[in-house]
This record gives sequence, C-alpha cells and structure tokens, in this order.
Amino acid sequence: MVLPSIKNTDFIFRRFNVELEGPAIPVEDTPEVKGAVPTAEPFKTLALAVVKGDTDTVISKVKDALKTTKPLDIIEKGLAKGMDAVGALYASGTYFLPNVMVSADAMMAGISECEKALGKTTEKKGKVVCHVAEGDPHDIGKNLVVMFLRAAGYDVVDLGRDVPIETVVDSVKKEKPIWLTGTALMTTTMSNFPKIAEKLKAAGIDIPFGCGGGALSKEWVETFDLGFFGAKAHHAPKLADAILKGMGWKDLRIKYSEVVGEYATGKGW
Amino acid sequence: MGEISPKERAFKVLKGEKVDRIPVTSLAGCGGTVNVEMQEATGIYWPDAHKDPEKMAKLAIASYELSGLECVRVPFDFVEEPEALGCKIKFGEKVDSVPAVAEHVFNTPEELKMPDNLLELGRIPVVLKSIEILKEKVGDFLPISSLALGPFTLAAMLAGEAKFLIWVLKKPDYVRAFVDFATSIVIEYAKAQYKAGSHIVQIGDPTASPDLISPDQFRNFAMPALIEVANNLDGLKLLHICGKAEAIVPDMADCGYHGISVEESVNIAKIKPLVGNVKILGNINSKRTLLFGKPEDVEAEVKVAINAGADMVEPGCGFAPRTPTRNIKAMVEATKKFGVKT
Repeated sequence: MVLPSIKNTDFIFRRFNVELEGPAIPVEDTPEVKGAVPTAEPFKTLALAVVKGDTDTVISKVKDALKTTKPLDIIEKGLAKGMDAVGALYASGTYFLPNVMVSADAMMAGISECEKALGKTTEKKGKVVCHVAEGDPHDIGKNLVVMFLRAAGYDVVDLGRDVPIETVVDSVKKEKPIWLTGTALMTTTMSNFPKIAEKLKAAGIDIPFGCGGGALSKEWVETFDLGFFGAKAHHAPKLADAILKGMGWKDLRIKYSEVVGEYATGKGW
Repeated sequence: MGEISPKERAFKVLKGEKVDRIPVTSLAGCGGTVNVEMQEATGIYWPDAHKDPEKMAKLAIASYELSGLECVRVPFDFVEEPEALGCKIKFGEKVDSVPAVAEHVFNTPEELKMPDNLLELGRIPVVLKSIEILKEKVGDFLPISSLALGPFTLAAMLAGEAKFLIWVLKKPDYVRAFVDFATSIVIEYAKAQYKAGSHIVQIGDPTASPDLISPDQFRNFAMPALIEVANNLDGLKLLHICGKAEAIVPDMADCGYHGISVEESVNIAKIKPLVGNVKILGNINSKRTLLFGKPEDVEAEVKVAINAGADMVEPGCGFAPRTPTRNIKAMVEATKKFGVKT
C-alpha cells in the first residue's frame, strides 16, 4: 500500500488575515500577563516561565530562587501568579487548551521542587474531591480543575474519570472535603450528578457540589440541591476560597460571578 | 411526476442542484440517529447493536421508519478505528451508553504500524457488513452515510487526548507522525465504506475544534490531513467539527468536502458568505432543544436555521440517545413545512 504523505503543503491555499488573528504581541506584554504577574524578582521570572510552559526553566529558576526565598513564597507569589495569568489568557481566547496544560505541567514541576526543599508537602488550605461522571472518559476539564486547585494550595483527592456514584459518595464520607466537583462532557453521563447529590443529602452531608463540563448548564445543575454550575476550570481556586470562608451552594449559585471576579455564562452548551 | 426520493434530494443538494425542498437528515455529527425509544420499539438494544451488522442495520432503518428522518447512518459510535488498532474500548451496559476508548496504547511514532488487514480488525467488518445490508434494503431510496474519524481526532485517541494536546506544543513532530499515520487509516477505511455501499462518508473531527486547539494549530496540524483525506475520496463527503467552530469555518470550507456540519454556536447566516459552494448542514441544538426542549422549540429553531441559510436541516451534533422521538419528528415536520423551495 502506498502511504499518502501530508508533508507537501505547498498547494494549500492559506489565508493570512492580520485583522482576524491580531498583531503578534509577545505574551509577556499582554494585559492578561501584566495584570497577574508580579514585577519583583525572582517572582516575575518564575511566573513568566509558567506562562510560557517552560518546565526546564521553571525547575532551574526555582532551584536558584530557593537559595534566597522561602518555598511557600515561590509557590504563592511566583508560580501560582503565572497560572493566574494563564487562566486569564485562556478566558480571553489567547491561550487554548494545549497552552494551559503545558503551563500546568511546568507549574506542578516547580511546586514539587519547592516541596522537596520543604522536606514535606506544603500545608494545604483544605480538601477537595474531584471526579468525572461514570461512563465519561473525557477528563481534560477535570484535570485542569485539579491542577488549578493544587496550584492554589488545596489538597485534591482526584478520583479520575468514569467514576461510579458509590465511589464518589464513599470518598466524600471518608475524606470529608469542603467541596466536591463533578465534570461531564456527555449528556448520557451527567444524570449521575443528581443521584450523587441525593445520596449525599440522605447521608446528611451538605457540601457544595460544583458541576461543570460541555454537557451541562447552570439551569440544569440548579434543578438539584447541593449543585452549582462551574463555568470554567480556572474559577476553581476562587470558588474554593469562598467555600473555605463558609459560602454554601445556595449563595454560590447567586454570587458566582462576584466570587470568580468575571462574568460567567450559564452555558456549557 | 412524483416526489423525488430522499436519496436523490440529498444527492442533488450536495452536488449543488435545485431541489423541491430542504432535506431533513442527520448525515453528520458525533451523536447518531438512534435513540432509546427506537431500541425499545424494535427490541434491539445497545451495546449488542454496536457489534452485530444485522442489528445495526435494523436499528438504522428503524430510525427512519419511526421518525421520518430522511437518511440512515451507521455506526452509532466513533471508536471503530482506535479499537481496530488496539485501544481498549468500554462499551457500557446501558442502552444509552456510547462506547468510548478506555485505554490509549501508543506513546511514540515508532509504535505505529500500518496493519495489512485493517478491514478485518475490530468492528470494522461489522460496520462494513451493516452498510452492505443497508445498501440492499434501502439504498435505492435513502441516503446512507457512514463515519470515519478525522485524522487529528483519531491520532489523539491513539495517544490519549491529554498527552496529545501537550505534544501539540512540546512535540509537534510526534503530532505530525501520528496524524500522518491516522490519515492512511482513515483513507483506507473510508474507501472501504464507499465500496460496501455507503453514499456519503462523514469525516468527524471533534478534537480539531477550537474548543480544544487554536485556529492556527488547526491549520498547522489538522487541516492538511483533512485535505489529504478529501483528495483521496471520490464519493460524496462531509466534514463535521462541533464546538465553537466559527473561527475555522472558512478553513473547513477550503478542505474539499461537499458539505460542512456545524453546531448551534455557529451563526449560519454569518458563515454563509464565507463557504462558497460548500453546503451547510445544521444546526439544531442537540442538547438544549432536541434533548430537553419541546416540539415547538424544535420547530422554532428549524425555522431559524432555514432562514439563516442551512442547506440541510440536521442536529448540530447528531442525536443524544435520550432525545425523544417526538422532537425528531418535530424537526422533520418543521423542515417539510418551512423548507419548501419556490
């Protein structure tokens, strides 16, 4: 059999539409990055390396910084600020999923260097249980939620994808998290969420159940108790902070935009 | 002179000829044409029907008989190619579970080897046999469409989507090698579908959507392969990309397919002037309207799609398995009502 080659792209008509694609501004000069990345060193360099998803630079710069700076400051004032900028770039449509995932990897590599220096894992703000609905193999969104939360200092119990209802309920009973998240891309799998909420209520557990993903909408998630709609993965740390301060699912439904600091649509579809 | 057949009508539209009325079909999309009610009515259930050519064909025909939708389409899932190449599949036990890749198996380009007997692997023979049955039973009257994956989507399934998206930035040579390999697979499989009797091959490339990769990444990694596939297929062909695809619609139209299938987030009136002679299929909301809405919501949306310039009325991304038949019927009736050409 002759294998067709797609390497010869000479005859493909390509558009170069400057207006559509925008001028080529270096990412460090974008308002999203300027607004989130600190100006002081070594934090600026660390944050920018995360923004660029440059794992090698992150590791070497973290090692340098550890000589003069506290590990927790490196995480909170440097690496996490870089991830905030990535979230903003994603929200504005400058960054797409590959960028976010590469940056998240780089940041996690930096955090693990800091934890090595501490000799223990850093003190966590609180515990969150994350899962993807049973039958659903799409876990990119959940992975992002997990990474954003870990970057912000939360202890995440990651149950993975395709998780049965019982496993979720048992995990919540055992781990006693401040928050449970569930994601689903498929309409056929999201029906697990109200069942989970029901079982938690029956067990007398009243924690917020943040549901998000392509199949869902705010309107639908609010048809069952405990549920509130999570619009974007990068909102997770701000939501967790609010929950930590005592905000419940009823308030989260109403004050969502206020909590995450930006307008959020109620549509996953 | 009697009314023309749904097959003739669909063919004419895709070839740019005049017709009496806009067709109402579901030739393209990630979801299929079969819902749970149809399984109950026929007593033929998933996951059995995913693995048996007779059952698959019977259910496909039932979707026409029970809803009036003017086409038949197989298969009902989109993991035949990764399964044939060795990925582990979870079929699910429920009548509404869609088979999905449970384990991705490829890590480097060196592991990719073109099988000598692709058409005998996994459920590929099941789908091809099912197409043969459909051709014999309804092939003179209804358009038969079948699905092959877009090369970018197949490549991502082989490696695992999360890893693959990171490669887009970190190992672009791996991405090219995987997409290149996937292109050969897709072409061979799609050609076999035509040979078995399929009239229209849908190339479904959801992972190439701007929901996942940027328009630039689409042009660099997914588009050349889609062009290569189109150049190698002689029959009628469609390109489906769901998600917020508006930014890449002109590129989709440049890929060389007879029609493009888009979902509800794409404004058909806005893209109409950008696609030349390429036909637009869509874009009734598969979830909010067809799955959860009422027949009157469906009717209203069909009217909007027709006024916006849809060439064929279709769901934005196929039918979810729990879509009520009455909503599919409403889509059919509304198209017959509002889609008459004068």
